[in-house]
Parts: sequence; structure tokens; C-alpha cells
Amino acid sequence: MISSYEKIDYRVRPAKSIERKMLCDAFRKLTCFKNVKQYQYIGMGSIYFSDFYITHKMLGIKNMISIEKDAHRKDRFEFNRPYQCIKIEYGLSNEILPKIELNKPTILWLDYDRPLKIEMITDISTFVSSTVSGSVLVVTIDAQPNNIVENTGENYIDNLKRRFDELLKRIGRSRMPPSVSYKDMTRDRLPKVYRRIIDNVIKELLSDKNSMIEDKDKINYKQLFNFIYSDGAQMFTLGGIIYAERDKKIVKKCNFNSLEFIRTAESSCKIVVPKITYREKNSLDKIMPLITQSSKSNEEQLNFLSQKERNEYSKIYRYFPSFVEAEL
Amino acid sequence: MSKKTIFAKPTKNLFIEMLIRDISLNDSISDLIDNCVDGAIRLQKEDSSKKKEKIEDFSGLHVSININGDKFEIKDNCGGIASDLARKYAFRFGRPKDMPSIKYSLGQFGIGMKRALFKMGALFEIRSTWKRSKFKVTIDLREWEKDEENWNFSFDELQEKKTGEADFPKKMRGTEIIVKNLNPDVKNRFNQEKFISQLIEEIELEHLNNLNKGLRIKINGNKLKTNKLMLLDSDVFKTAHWKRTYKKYGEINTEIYAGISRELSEEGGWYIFCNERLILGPDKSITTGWGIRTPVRIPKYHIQFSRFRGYIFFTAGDASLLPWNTSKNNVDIDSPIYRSVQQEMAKLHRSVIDFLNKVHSENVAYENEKISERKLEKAMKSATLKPYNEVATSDSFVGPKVTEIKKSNEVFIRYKKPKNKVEKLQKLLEVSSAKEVGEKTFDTVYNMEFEG
Repeated sequence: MISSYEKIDYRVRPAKSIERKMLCDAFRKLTCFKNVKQYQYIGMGSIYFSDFYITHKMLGIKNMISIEKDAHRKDRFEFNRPYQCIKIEYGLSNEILPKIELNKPTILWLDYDRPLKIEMITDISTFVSSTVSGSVLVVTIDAQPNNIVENTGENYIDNLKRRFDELLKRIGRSRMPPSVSYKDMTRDRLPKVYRRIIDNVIKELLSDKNSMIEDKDKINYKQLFNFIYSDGAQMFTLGGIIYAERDKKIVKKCNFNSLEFIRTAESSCKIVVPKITYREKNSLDKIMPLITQSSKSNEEQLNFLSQKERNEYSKIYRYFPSFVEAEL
Repeated sequence: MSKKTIFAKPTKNLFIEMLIRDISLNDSISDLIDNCVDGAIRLQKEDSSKKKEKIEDFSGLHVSININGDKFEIKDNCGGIASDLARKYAFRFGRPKDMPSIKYSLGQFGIGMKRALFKMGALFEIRSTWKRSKFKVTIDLREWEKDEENWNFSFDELQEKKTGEADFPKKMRGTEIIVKNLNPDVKNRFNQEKFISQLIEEIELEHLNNLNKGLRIKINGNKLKTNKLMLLDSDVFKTAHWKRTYKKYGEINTEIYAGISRELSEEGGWYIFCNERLILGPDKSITTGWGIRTPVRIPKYHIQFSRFRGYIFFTAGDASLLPWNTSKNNVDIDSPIYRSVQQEMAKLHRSVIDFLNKVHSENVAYENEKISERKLEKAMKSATLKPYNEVATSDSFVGPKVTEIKKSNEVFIRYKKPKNKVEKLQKLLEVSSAKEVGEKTFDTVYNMEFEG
């Protein structure tokens, strides 16, 4: 099985880089709980460690662990490790995560590069079951429907049914919400299905845990992140904060809702990166932030860009990655 | 009764049938022993120079059971049943709200004794001498069944001490129950020696803690052995341990130990105790986490895990809070306390599995001659078995560290081919085994395609 880092150069995934910056902005708000630089960050850095770069540089987090399943090329990962404070643990996440000390405020970003499978549910449950108030969980899954199982030459409906059967096989019948059917295996609906499955796992776990606990100590999960984007395959990111009932006020103080990309329910924040040139970007920046949706400033000469492209840009302009385009 | 009245009273016949249905013969005998234990607890409480909340010492108390094809007999010296208790509560079906409860008792459903008796036969003699009373009750079940209206029994003999009169001497105190007119299927089983030896084994396990506290139990003259829950201990091992007291619905203490012991698969698994009485174990099923995927992944039970021992203790003053079913032979998987604790169990479980997986990898590597000594195996052989409450503990299982055995970068290729074809190739390639044919043909094609 080829690891995804051997296929894609992560660095040129613009939507992903935007998501990373947005998440960073959100993590900064955790300082109401505890200074975010004292948090523990657990991720899956691969050889690029992009999330580690940003969380260390922007937030100052020093306690960092990268889970890496490819134990054959340890020297390559060690070489690419950007900071000495990152510890790389080799092994499957199912095996590594239970061994990590989770009873301290932690940001866990399970950046899987594949469609949903049972091992991901295990990791999510391990974290939710053991972690403490103020921790954040982020899960990124491949939500491209035809990546669940290859399309055969047969008709569209059969492909949907094959995807459904495969998903059912992977997660088990008891975890598939009863109203979900093969009709939900489309590009639009698949992320919603994934969200429901994961939400249910978290809810059940917390409900069991909370049944014997005093009200003020009960643990809650509040969704904050619901991103959809495609740099290639469609990806879906779900996440939220875990907090004890007595810390409800602190969560309010964090004021996550002031961030425009926060989503607390089924509706997603779609990250769309318009395909524009560096020159166009500079010109567009001059009229940012957009005051009205359909304004056309005198300075701007970008009539060839549609209103749609302009709006798309205005949603993410602050996070737009600075790639340099060079003509060779 | 007017014409408008609809009869809805249960028949005695149905009642008896339903009552005895959800319990096995062995479990009902175990129930009777539970009553003796409860009597023992009551006795220690009364004698209370003992300040301790929980009773830890049953020495001097004994239960004697005699079973044959004609009768069942159980005799104990655990203090006896007060006549008033018998009059108002002991023979009721169910537990009245105003019945005084014993803290940390085993009986809490109010049906143990009656159910056990009805399960076995139809003629009962119950004699009991308590400090201040002495009584005898004879019940002829077939006669009792005939009168649908009257659900009461009556004392044949009754002696109650008046104030000022001396107590009955200690030597006389105790209870004796005899069951005759055994049900035919029960009669059959009581005649088999195998039944007796199995019963002894089961009771030894279920009442392990009470036996260890000094309670003497004899079945057909055989003294039951005390076993202890043992775990391997040495300076390189730490048994996983967790404990917590829940107060939400009343106080429940939970304590979990997970570690390793002898390589005996029948003993491997989880043991669940409620108020010191084993209700399930050794369990190897999903009930105790084998094969779960949340909150951690635990593989299904396998002979590789035969050293695993998990001991979980639920203790509560109010027995109704405990997660057991009425037959006391299983845990109630829906109970909130069990569901809460399962998550903690799983974590401790996982840490032991991690270690046992390493042991397995070590064995495989040793068999494939990748290593020349088995450090983990050695460490286990030089550890000693100790009672669970005497071992070194930590919040997850710790074993000796070993150097990582490199995971192989190779995969197996396995397939079948017709014998004559394989032999032909063996000759051609000048090799002597089918394995070598596979290896050589693979290498030949690979070299042609990729390195030629």
C-alpha cells in the first residue's frame, strides 16, 4: 500500500493550507482554558510535518507527538523533523494513542488520508474517553465517494450500493445510523453520513461516562469544525472541543463564534480556492475586505473574474497561501 | 366480587414455574450459600465489638451441604434467622420496602431461598435457632399449591425468648434446611458424582473471597479449597490497577486489577465480583471487552492471551446498586455503573494485551531464529505468583523493556499448484522443495522484468 505522502506533495494543497491556518486561529482561542502553548499537540506529520510547523511557530506549543505508521524509514522522518521538541512515535494509531498520556489539555488532529474505517472510530473513542476538559479533537477523512471502493463499469446506482456495502462492512452495522442508505453515498451527502457516525460514537461514549458522574463534572462535546474542500479528492474535517460542564463559561469566553469559519451543526464551511494568478491576487487584495457583495471598485481592472470568484476569494483571502508562480 | 371484576391473580403453579426458570440448579445452591454468608455478616455485626464496616473474618463459621438422590440438606452455624425476620420477610416473595437491610449483603432480590427450594423439590423443612428465637417450618408445596387464596405459611414450632430470659447458647445457633420429594430431573443429577465435583469447583470459585475469609464449606464431606486470585510479580512487572468510588446514586466502590499469571487458558479472562461474590468469570467474551473497537481496540480472546487475568470488584453497602442479574451469574451490561467502568477496564486491558503481543512476537522471532534468547519469557519465569492485593501496581501494565524486533518488510505468498507441475519445476530448477520452486520462480520473473 502506497503511503499518501508518496503520491501527493502536501505542500501544494492550497485548500488544506487554508484549513490549517483557520484551525490555528481557532486553537489560539483555547488560551481561555490554559495558555495554548502549554497544550500537548498530537498529529500525523508524515514527512512534511506541516501542521507541526504551524502549531509550533504560531502557537508556541512545545509538547508535540507525531504518530507515524511507516516504521521502515525512521531515518527519513527523523531527518525531516523540523524541531527537536517533536517526538515521533512509530506504530499504528490504534496502538500508539492508548499509550500516550491523554489526561492533560491536548489538541489531537487525526489527519487520516483515507475514507472512514473502524480504526479511526477506535482512535476517536480512545481520545474522547480519556481526555480532559479543554481538549480539542480534529478528524480529517477522505470523503471522495469513489475512493471508498472503485467504481465498476456498471451503472451509477450499483456503484452507490457497493459503496454503502463497503462502508457497512468497515464500520459494522451497529454503527450505521438506520436512516442512511446507498442514496447517501454521493459527494454531497457522504460527509454528512460520516459526521453522523462520528457524532454518535462520541455521544454514546460520553453518555456512558457521564452516567455515574455528578452534573458539574459531566463531559460535553461541542462541534466547532465542519470543513469540506478538494485539492484533489474531496476531504472532510470534523472537530470540536471537549469540556466539563463546570467549564461551560470558559468555552463561552473563548468566543469561537467570532471566527467566521466555525460550524456547530450539519452545515459545512466549504473552502474553495479560486484559481487566480499572483498578479490577480494582489489586485483583489486592494479591495479586501469586500464591503458589498457586488461592488466594483474603480481601481480594480479584473472584469474577467466572475463575482463568484471574487466572493470565493473574499472568504479566504486572509488565509490564502503565498505560493510563488515562476515562469521558467 | 361483582360481575365487573376480572380475575388477574397469578396462579401459584405459574408463579413457581416462572420463578425457577431463570436459574440453574448450581446457581440456586450458590444462592443458599449466599444466605449463609449474609447470616454470617449479620452475626458479626451483632457481635459488634467489631468496629469495621466490612466484615473480613469468617473463621469459626461453617456451611455443610449433603446431597443425594433422596434429599438435599444445608446446615450452617451462621447465627440463625430471627423468628420475626422469618415471620415478616424471609418467606415473602420479593423484598418488602421496610425490610432492614444488611450492608454489603449478597441477598437483595428477596427470592433466593424460595427459588432454590422450589427448584429442587416439594417438601421443605426449615429449622433455625437465633439468639432470641427458635423455629421450625414445614412446607408441603403440593398442598400449598392447592389453596389459591392463601399464600402464607405457618410455624410448626416456635419459641421466642421473653425479656429477661437468657439467649440461646451460641453452639445451638444456626439454620438447617432439608429438601425432600426431589423433582425427578434434580434427583437424577444429584445421583451423579460429576455433578458434585462440578458443583464443588463452581462454589470454590464463586465464594473464593468468603472461603479466604475463613468460611468453611463442605459438600458431601469434601472440604472446599481456598484459592487465591494470583498474579505474577517481580521488580520488572507492574500490574495495572485502577479504583474509584462513585457516589451519585449511593456509594459504589470499584477496583480493577489487570495483569498476568500462569499460562493456563481455562483460567484466562476477566473475573467480576459483586460484594466479593464472583458472578462471572473467567470471561473471554465481548461482555468484558474481548473484541471491542471502542474506546480502544481489544482483540478477541485467543490462546496467546491465556496469561491474562483481570479482576474487577464492585462493592456497595446497598446491594441493589450492583451490576448483577437476579441469578447472580452474569453482569447486567445495561447498568450505568458497568458501562462507565467498562471504559476504564478497556484501557487496563489494552496495556496487558500490548505486553502479551510483545511476548508473542518474541516467541515468533525466536522460532524463526531471529533472536537467540527470549528476555520476556525469562522475566516471566523468574517472577513469582502472589495474591492480587500484594503485587506492585501502576496505572497501566508495565513489563520489562526489550529492544524492538524489526517488523518484517516481507509478505507471505501462498498458493496451491498441481503436484506433477511442481515436481517438473523442481527438476528443472534443481531444487528440492515446493517452497524453493515458489522462491525461484518469483525471483526469475522479477529479475527478468525489473533488473534485466
